[in-house]
Amino acid sequence: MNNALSEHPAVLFGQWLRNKRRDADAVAREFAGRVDLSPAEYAEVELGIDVGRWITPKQQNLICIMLNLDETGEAELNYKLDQARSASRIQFGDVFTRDQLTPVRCSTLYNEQIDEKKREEILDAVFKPLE
Amino acid sequence: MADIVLDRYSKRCNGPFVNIEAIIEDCGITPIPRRGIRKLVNGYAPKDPRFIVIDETYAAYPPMYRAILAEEFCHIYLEYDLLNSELPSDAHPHVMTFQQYKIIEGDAQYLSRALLMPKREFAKRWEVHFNSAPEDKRHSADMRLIYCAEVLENEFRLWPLLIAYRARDLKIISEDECSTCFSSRIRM
Repeated sequence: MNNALSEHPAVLFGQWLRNKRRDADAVAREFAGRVDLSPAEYAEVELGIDVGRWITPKQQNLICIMLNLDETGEAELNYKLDQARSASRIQFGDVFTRDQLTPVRCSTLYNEQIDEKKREEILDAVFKPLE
Repeated sequence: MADIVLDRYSKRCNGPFVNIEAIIEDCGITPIPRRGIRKLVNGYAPKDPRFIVIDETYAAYPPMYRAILAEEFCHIYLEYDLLNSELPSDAHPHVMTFQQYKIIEGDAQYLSRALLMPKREFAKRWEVHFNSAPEDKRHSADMRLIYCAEVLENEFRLWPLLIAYRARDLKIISEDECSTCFSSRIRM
């Protein structure tokens, strides 16, 4: 992750949520479903990407329920979320560089080896904003 | 190598179920599900070994999602020193001959199966189900093997072809049986 973003409120919110989820012993894929987000959307939230877009009041309520937050926990969630929403928006490309996510070992459908052209196509798809 | 991981993260194992997603996170690796990469790749280990990229479509079928993550995790585990070190700028660890590629993929796939289906647990359960197969499954050898794989599919929460490959790895079934009953019937 881009170190310059380590103190960004959205990144701090994502880390806080990730720690709470891990404390609740839930894996990200399952937790995403519980708060009505797709795994890709939820992964962005934990990375601090597009938090304002993915966390609507519905997700906010679901997070409270799924994490079983008490009044203090809920206040902490609301505060961190407000901070994240009012800060500048982070995009996928702000967090990762293409070099960092360049495929080194791949699992392909028919165990094919990928070439440089495919490597670039994969990176284009990975860095394409979620629709 | 699988035993080292399973011993260390024994709290992540519940009977036959190995919670590989939790183990991966315990190791400080973050899976990044993304959209639209499935036509090119199921998942991959990137240059930065703190992440695994996976097509999010597979999350709808956890037996496959877990298997893909496990394989990529094993690449990082097997090649950590290579992936985590500062390589010379002209080094390209992803550039390999076809033979090198086959060996590296084979090793990661084998280790991932060993991790997801611990040897003792797997052999014990296979034997139980083989011996207690219902009467209608005992008439043909094929049906009996397929029955075992299908029961274990639910217990290990993995897809049947992977179960068959593990049985083949452990020499519980032969190469021919694996091919006739599974590989030729279910596309990888």
